[in-house]
Amino acid sequence: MNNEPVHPESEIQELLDGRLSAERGAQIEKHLAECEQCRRQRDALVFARESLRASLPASPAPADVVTGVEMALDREERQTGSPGSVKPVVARRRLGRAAIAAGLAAALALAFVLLRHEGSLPSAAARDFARVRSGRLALAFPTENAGELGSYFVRERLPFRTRVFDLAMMGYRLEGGRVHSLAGRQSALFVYRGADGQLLVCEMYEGTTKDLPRALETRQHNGFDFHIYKQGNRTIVFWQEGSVTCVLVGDGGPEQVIQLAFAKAMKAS
Amino acid sequence: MADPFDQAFNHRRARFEAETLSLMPAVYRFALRLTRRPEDARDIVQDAYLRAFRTFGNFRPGTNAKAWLFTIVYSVFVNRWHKEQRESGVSVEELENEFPRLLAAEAPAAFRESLSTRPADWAHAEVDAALRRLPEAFRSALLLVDVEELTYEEAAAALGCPVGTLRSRLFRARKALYVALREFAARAGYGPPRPETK
Repeated sequence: MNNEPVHPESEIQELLDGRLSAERGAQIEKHLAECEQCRRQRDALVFARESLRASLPASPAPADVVTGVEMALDREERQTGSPGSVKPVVARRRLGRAAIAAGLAAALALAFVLLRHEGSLPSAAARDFARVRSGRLALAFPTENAGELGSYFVRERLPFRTRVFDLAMMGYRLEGGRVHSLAGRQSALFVYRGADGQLLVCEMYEGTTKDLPRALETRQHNGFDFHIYKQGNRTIVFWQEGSVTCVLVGDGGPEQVIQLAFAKAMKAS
Repeated sequence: MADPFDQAFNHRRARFEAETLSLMPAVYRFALRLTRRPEDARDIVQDAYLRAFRTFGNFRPGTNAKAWLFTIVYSVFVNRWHKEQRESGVSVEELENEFPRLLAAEAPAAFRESLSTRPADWAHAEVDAALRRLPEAFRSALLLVDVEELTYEEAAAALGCPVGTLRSRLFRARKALYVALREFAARAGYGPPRPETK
């Protein structure tokens, strides 16, 4: 007795989705070769799937969606600390009061140190650099033209003036920029690339350098204070221009990044 | 002692972003198809990422981050938006019942050949209009499997239904979508008039 269904309707779908065994797939293929009705069904399912896939391509999420998520995560980190990195200390009854107090003090000190760095502006700038480097942070406005990028930031209605400089004379080519968020502050982000692949990421945001943690080094140059931080092979330099603070992050060598920051600040002054 | 910034960079936020940020275009697209409104999609994406960040400890590295994240997105949608929305889609049975009649009257291959434009060239808005006619449960199954390419098991987990239910919804949704697309093509003049099926 033949148990083969007359028209294996749902199995046609399973065949299309690659869910049948080779043996069963061959049986359904054989049936399709002989059955016009099932071939029509298969063609209709393929048509629907193909139309759907072709018409809904992945495109970058709108800039305000990306910024909204980043700001929400920044808020979350500020409110709770980094989840999982600092656990509340659970006092045990066996511990004496002095031990409990000492433990709490140590935990609070640790929490202070971690929170200070994890939610900090230098940490956020370094993270943005890493995301640009890895391609995880896309440029909403790719251009090599500093003027065009400046106009883009005006169109995006940033609440502060941006100044995008051409660093070609210093061996860095502009790649483009985007409206972004640096540790919860709306920022203009732009990216330069050196001839040997060195990356330079600049961000500008409304704020002062008073919000920064203590720097590894602070240098004065041409009337500006430059706050210098290090993260791995990256050098992070902050300075303030009026109501706007700029940060430059680069992996082209500490002194080179610092000198680029000097040059950029000089041009802005 | 490790550089504090290295420690900071390697902390949970960085690992979370490494797993999830590249998925944001797909997450937004899914949320937009679910809610039909960009402002609601934006809120869903934000809520979902926040919830995912809070529960990142539950995510097992090496497993499918996309399936995990889409499960959260759908849960946010169901909890916060779904209840507020009244389905405006047509009855899927109505479209589904047309399917065998339409196939009997016209071969899809012939319809496809007669199109003045290829399916791959159909504009986003046109397929989107057909998709929007489907009830949410069917639309979600199509989006997760056909667009986001989740497995049946992953899509079923995201939608909170058995795999068999997902399979059935998917089958019915594809048939309904074909009928809706065929109707749309006829109205828009992309192909021949829709054959009489009654």
